[in-house]
Amino acid sequence: MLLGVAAGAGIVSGGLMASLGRHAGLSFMGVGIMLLVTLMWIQRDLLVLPPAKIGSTKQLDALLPSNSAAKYHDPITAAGIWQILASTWEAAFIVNRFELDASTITGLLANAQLDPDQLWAETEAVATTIGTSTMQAAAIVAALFKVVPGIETYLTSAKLTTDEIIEGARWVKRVGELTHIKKPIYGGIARDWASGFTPQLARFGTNLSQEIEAAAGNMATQERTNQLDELITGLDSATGSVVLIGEPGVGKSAILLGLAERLLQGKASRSLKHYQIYSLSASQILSSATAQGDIERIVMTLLSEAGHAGNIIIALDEAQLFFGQGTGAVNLSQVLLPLLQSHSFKLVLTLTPGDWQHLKATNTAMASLLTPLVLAEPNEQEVLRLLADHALYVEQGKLFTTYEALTEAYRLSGRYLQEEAYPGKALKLLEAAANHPDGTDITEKSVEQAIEGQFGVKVQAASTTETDVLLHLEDKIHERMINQTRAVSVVANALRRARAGVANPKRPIGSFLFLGPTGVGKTELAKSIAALYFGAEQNVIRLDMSEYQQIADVDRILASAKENPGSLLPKVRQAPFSVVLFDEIEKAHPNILNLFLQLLDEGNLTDTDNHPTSFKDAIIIATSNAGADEIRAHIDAGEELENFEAAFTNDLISSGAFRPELLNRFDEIVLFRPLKESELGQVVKLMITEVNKTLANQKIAVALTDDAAANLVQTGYDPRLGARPMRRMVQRKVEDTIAAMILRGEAKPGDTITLSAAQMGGGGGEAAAREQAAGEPFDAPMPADDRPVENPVMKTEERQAGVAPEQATATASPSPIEPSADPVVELATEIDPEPTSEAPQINKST
Amino acid sequence: MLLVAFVQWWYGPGWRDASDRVLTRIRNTFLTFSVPILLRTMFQPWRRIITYPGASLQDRMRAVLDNVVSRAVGFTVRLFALTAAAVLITIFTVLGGLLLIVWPVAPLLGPALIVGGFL
Repeated sequence: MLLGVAAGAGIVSGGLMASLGRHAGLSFMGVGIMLLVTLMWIQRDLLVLPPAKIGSTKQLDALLPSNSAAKYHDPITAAGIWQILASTWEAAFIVNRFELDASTITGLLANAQLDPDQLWAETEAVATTIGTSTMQAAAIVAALFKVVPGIETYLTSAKLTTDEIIEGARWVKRVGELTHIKKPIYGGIARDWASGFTPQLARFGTNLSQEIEAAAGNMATQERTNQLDELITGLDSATGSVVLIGEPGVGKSAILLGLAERLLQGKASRSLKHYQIYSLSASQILSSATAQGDIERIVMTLLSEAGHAGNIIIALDEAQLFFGQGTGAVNLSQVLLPLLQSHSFKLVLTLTPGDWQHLKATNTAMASLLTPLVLAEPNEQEVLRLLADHALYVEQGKLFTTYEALTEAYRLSGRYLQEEAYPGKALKLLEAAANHPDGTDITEKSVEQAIEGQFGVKVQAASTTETDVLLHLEDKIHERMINQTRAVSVVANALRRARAGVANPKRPIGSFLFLGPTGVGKTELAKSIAALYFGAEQNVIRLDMSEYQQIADVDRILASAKENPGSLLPKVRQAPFSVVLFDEIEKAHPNILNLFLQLLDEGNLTDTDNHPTSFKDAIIIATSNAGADEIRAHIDAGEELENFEAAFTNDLISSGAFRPELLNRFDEIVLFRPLKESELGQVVKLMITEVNKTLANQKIAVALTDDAAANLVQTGYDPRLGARPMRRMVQRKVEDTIAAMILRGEAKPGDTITLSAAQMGGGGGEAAAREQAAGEPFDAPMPADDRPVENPVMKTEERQAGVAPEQATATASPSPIEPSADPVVELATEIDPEPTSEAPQINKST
Repeated sequence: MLLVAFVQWWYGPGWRDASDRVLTRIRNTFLTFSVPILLRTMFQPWRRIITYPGASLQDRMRAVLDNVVSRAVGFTVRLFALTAAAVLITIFTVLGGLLLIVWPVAPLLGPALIVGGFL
C-alpha cells in the first residue's frame, strides 16, 4: 500500500516538475517507476507464487506452497514440518473442524521419526485423491498424519481415521475454490433483449436463473454432472420435456439450479444457450384460483408466455397436483397434453416414483411425451461433501461447523428422517442444528439437540442424572410395579444395553415376549418402560391382536397413511420412539406372525405404498396368556421362574402355541408369575398413590386405615384375575366415596380424608368384581352393607372418637397384610357417588 | 540472485501475465456488452414485441408497421450498445498495447530517468 502511494506520488510529482522544466522531476519519475515495477513483482509473483504442478519438477521448493516454502529446510523432521504447517490457515482449519488438540499433536510429533521422501510421496498421493495438482498445506497435513506412527492412534481415540482427515483436506480445497470464485458474465447486458417479457411468470414463479446470478456462482453444485448432461440432452430432444423422478429430498431442486447455471454459462447445448428457468409451484397456482376455470386460465397464460418469450424453461414442482393426485389437486392433463404435443415450450416436471408410475398408468399419452430421468440418492461420501459445502452457507460467517457435526447429520438423518431422501434430509438437519449452537460451533451435540427437538427422543450420551436412572432402573420400575423382579431385571438390562450403544442398531431397541396370567403387570411394565425410556407412558402404541385373526388383516397391519392414518405403520412413523405393544399375540393370524419375523430381524416393515417404516427406535413387546395355567402350577408347586423357564419355552413350542423361529427372534421371553395375595397390599398402596396424584390438583389427599386396606385386598383378590379386580374395588370403594364427598362439599382443599373399612362399605366387592370379570355389568345391585345411609357424615364428636368399631368389625375380614407401625396407610383414593354408612375422618391441614 | 529472479519473472511470466490481463479486460468488455448476441440479433424486434397480422389488409399493414417500429427500436438500442462497446474496447486495446510495449523497457526506464534528472 505504502509502496503504491510512494510510486504514484513519485511519478505524478516528477511528471509535474518535469513539465515545468525542472530536470529533477525526471529523477522523481524514475524513482516512482522503479517502485511501481518492484510493487508489481511483489504483488504478482512473490506473494502469489503458485506451487509447481506435481510431476512438472523434482524441486521441492517449487512444489511446496509459496506461503511456507522458504521455511522448509534440512534436516526435515516431523516436528519441524508441523511447526511450519501449524501457522497456515489450512492446518488450523483441519485442527479446528476435526476438534483436534494442536498441543497433543505437537507432543506426538516431537520425537517422531520421519522419512521425508515417504512424506512427499504421500502428499502427492493425497493431492491426487482430493483432486488438486499441487501440494497444498492441507494435503501435507493429511500425509503427515498418515506417515507418522502414533498419530493414527490419537485419531482413533478421537473417533477419526486418516481417510477422514483426507476428506478434511478436500474440504479445505473446496473452501479455497468457493472463496475465489469470480463473478462470471452470464451473457451480458443484451442477453434478454431478443426475448419477450414475462410478467405473469414473474408473478407466479421463481426465476432460478436470477437466483444463480445473484449468488454469483456460489450455488454451484458439486457432483451430478452426468445427470445434468442427461437432463440437457432430454430438453434438447424432440419432445423437449423431461420428468425428474425422485423421492423428496433427493435433489431435484438442486439439479434445476445446476441446470440454470449451466444454461447461463452458455456451456449447455447451442439451442439452449442463455435459457432461463422459472420454477412454478403448483400449490401456489392452485391457491390463487378463486373461480372455476381460473387454474386452467392461469396455466395456459403462463405456458403461452413462456412459449412466446422464447428463452424460458418451465419447471413444474409437485407436478402430480396437476394430474389429479393429492389433496386439492386438479386434473389439467387435457390442457397440458396439446401444449406438450405442440413442443412450443420446454418443460421439466418433478414427480416422486409413485406419482410417475401413477401418471404412466393413467395417462399414457402424457407420459410418452416426457423423457424420464430418475435421480438416485447420492452415496455417503457425496452427501458428506454436499454437507461440507452447505455448512459454509449455514455458518453465514458467524458459526463454525465441525466435521463430526457433518457425519452426525448424515447418520441421524438416515436413521430418523426416513420420509425423505439424501441429501435433502441431512442438509435440513444441519440447518436445524445451526439453531442449537454449542457456543459459536455447530457440533455433534447441536445436531443431536436438533433431532431431539424435532422428535422428542434422546440420542445424546446419557447425562449424570440419566445415568443414575439407568443404573437404578429396577428400583424406578418397582415404584410402579409389585414383584416380577425377574421380568423387570431382564427388561432393565436390555434398556441399559440400548442406551449405552452396545445393542444392535439395525434391530429394535428391545423385543420381549411377556408370558403369564392376566392381571400380573405385563401392560404395566410396558407403560413403565414407555415412561422411563421415552418420557411418558402415553408413548405406547397398542394393538389388540385378537382383532387381527383373518388373513385379510395383514393388509390392515401394513396399511399406509393414505389408506388409514391411524394404522400401525403411520403411527410408528409419526412416533418412532414408542413401546409397540402387541396384546394377545397368539390370537393373530399366522401370516401376521410371519411379519414379526422381519420386524424383529430387520427392524422395519414396508407399507402398502412401499414406504419403509423403521422400528429400530421402538421397543417391541408382545404379550400372551399362553401357558398361564402351567406357570401358576409351577409357582404353586414352589418353583422359581428361573428354574423352569427353559422347559416352559420348549413346552410352548411343542404344544404348537408359537413357532420356534418366532420365539428365537425375541431378545427375551419373560415369564410373569401370578401375584400372591400378600403382594396385593402393595398394589393397593400404588393404586391409592395414583388416586392421590389425581386429587392433588384439588389439594385433597386420601388415606386408608389398615383395616380398609385389608378389606380392599380381600375383596379385590382373585387368583385367576390377578390385580385386575383390585382396580375396580379401589374405584368403587375409594374413588366413589371421595367423589360423593366432594360433590356434597364435605371434602375441601387442604383436607386429608382417612377411610376405614366400614366407611368404604366393606363386603360385596369381591362378588361385583367377579361378576365384572365374567362379563356382567358392573352396576349390579349393591349388597346391603354397601347401600348408602341417610346421614353419612359424622358429627364432630363422633369423628373425634374415631370409627364405629362395630361397623369396622362387621365389614373387614382379618387382614392378610402385616399391620404397619403407622395405623394409617398413606394411600390415595377416588370417588363414591353415594354416601357411605359412616362419615370418613377429615383432618384439616394447616 | 534476487535480481536474476526478478529479470526471469519480468520478461517471462510477468509479461505473459500482463498480456493475459489486457486480453481479459478486452474480452470481459466484449462479453459484458453481449457483442456476439447484439450482432446476431441486430435486426430482431425489441423484446419480441410484435403484432400478428389479421385477415384484413388494414390489419396486415398495421402489423407490418408495428413490427418495423419494434425492429427499428431494437436496432437503435443495439447500435448504441455496440458503439459503446467498440469505444471501450478500442480504449482498452490501445492502453493495453502501450503497456505491453513499455513493459520490456520499464525496469530500465527508472534508473535511466534518475540519471537523466541529474544531467
